[in-house]
Amino acid sequence: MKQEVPIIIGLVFGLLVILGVFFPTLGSLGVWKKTIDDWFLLATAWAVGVGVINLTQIHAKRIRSKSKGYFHSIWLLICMYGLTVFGVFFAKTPSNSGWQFVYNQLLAPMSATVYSSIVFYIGSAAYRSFIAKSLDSTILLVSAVVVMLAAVPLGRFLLGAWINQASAWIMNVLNSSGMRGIQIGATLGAIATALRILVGIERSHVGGAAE
Amino acid sequence: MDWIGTQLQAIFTILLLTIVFADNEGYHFAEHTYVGLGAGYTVVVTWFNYIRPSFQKYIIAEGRWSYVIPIIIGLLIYTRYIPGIQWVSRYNVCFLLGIGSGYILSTTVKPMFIDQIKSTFLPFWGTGDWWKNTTNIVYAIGTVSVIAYFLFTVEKKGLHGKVSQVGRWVLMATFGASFGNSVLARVSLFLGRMQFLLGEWLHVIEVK
Amino acid sequence: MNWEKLRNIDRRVLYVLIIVIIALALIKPIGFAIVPSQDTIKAYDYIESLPSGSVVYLGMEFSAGGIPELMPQIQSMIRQGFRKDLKFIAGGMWVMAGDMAEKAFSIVADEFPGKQYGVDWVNIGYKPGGEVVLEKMVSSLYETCVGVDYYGNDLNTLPLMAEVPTIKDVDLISVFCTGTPGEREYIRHVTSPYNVPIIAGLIAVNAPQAMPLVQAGQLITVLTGMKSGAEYEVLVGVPGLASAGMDAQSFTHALILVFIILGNLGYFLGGRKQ
Repeated sequence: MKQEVPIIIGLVFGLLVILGVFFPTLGSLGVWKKTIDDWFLLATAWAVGVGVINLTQIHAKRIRSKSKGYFHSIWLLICMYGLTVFGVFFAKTPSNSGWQFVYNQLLAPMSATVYSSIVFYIGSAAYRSFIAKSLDSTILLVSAVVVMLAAVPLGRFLLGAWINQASAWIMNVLNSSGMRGIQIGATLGAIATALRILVGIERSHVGGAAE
Repeated sequence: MDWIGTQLQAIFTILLLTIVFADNEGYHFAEHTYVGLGAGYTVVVTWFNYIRPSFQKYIIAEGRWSYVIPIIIGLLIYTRYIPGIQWVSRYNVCFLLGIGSGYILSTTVKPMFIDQIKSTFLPFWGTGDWWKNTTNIVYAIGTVSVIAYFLFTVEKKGLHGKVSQVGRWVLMATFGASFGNSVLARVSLFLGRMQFLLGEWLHVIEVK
Repeated sequence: MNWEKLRNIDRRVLYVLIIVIIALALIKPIGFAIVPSQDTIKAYDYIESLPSGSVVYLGMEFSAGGIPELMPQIQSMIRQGFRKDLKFIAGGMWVMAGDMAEKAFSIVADEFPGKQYGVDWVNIGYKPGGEVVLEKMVSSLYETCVGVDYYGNDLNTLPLMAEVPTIKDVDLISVFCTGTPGEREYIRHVTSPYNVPIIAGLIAVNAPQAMPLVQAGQLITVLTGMKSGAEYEVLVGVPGLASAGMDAQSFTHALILVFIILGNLGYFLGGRKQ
């Protein structure tokens, strides 16, 4: 029953949502759906501390065992709890200058930098793996080269407007048709998974094997 | 304060970028700072933007005491950290997944499946433009062949094998286009950081 | 000559060259002409066709990592919109949505001093809950925001919010995304059921995946990363960071292509060894 009751609750709310979307004016379905939306937003918001607790568990373990680099873990916890306490009890609004400083001068730039370092790996991955060994890899290479050249003004400067037209054709025809095929398959998979979750065939989220 | 902020920004930017050359303690320090601040930021922003105003509005101002139920459901997720009653967190998970699954089933089928298939039915002739006719044929063949490629339960031989091969070629062109755009994206991101380092930090270039 | 060596150049050489080339191109730009593409022109023309007073919802579905690619697009759209006396509501399902909106509208004070917060634009900030937020916005923006904007102001004191009770009532949705939830969620919950027009500004990585949606008519157009940002800046006549970066972008692409050619030369001339 520790699995079945939660699954039944999920099924009931899922069905109410589906019925509320398709029959919003039938009886109280529309009202129920709006209430369910509010409940969902509240339940999601109050679960925001899960990430904080997970990080605390992982790094507290490292600190207790004094594993390599454990002082970084101490610093991480100081940053995390320090910013939380500062934000909730001292800053109180996003307009606070201290909050703005932490966000604009530290968090946002670091977030941007972490993603930007991928450029180096993309470059070296392209150098090592974009070899025209077969027809398949040649098509991949030609498509990538045309799109890369057309994406920048240098391509048009060196080769003329046709490179942009070729790239647009690749993007709007070849790429679009390929992506559509992939996405139709992905959509079927998403629908199948949602159905499996609702009817309880998929139980990995409740800790049991699928039956 | 602006000057201090700029220096801190530059230091953390450079520390985070050093990982591409070699693993080092400076990178780990910056990485842990980022992760810690990011987790704290998420909690505080959710508190500002939703938890505090919703509690004040729904519960205190409007007296909608039934809204305590979803708050309790939301808090049930934390029972996963209490030995002996971890199973109670399933109520939270199933509640959220059930509603999410309901929305997927009711909102995905038309726009992401039916409309997409409908849009593949393109005119092969009669448009008045031979290039458009050709493009439409290529588009339809491309889509059908890619879907055929993903039918792994049928052996790829005969007509299915040939169509799958065409699908594979279309996929290669697709992935090539994706890679080209990935290069554009990642270079742009790094460019942004270089514009900061050379502009606001070193004042070598003018930043608008 | 040992052609195989061309395949084994130390990756750090490439890394240093990337940094050097970008730095040189930023310090001494050549100024290659930026010619707007059809996709960007479509977005510009659509905004131009909106009558004065129209309301545009800006979905800020990205974090700080998307700023270099998306912020030029957004700020160019805001400039164009404010010149036409359009109005904007900005918010999103991503946690940094409110901060991104604040950064986007930071140009208003200097460039459009006559524009007033609450009348010409509102920042409703981040709302947790993923795509269910959009379902809620379809029935009531006020309820979704629990009555307050990003700064804690009561929405009843902001005249613009009285004009737009739900997200269905806006004249255009412009969503700027770096992942999920993103443009697909807007299409599923808002634009497909209620026929609200939508433009998507995406980072270049995600643009290929959105092309089927453009072909199906579910998106008016897709703006692709910094490239479209630079093109939009040209159309609006206010060059910014995106335009300034395109020379560096050009040369970096050229560098990577040169290394790809070297790798292929090393393979073919070095005896096609794996």
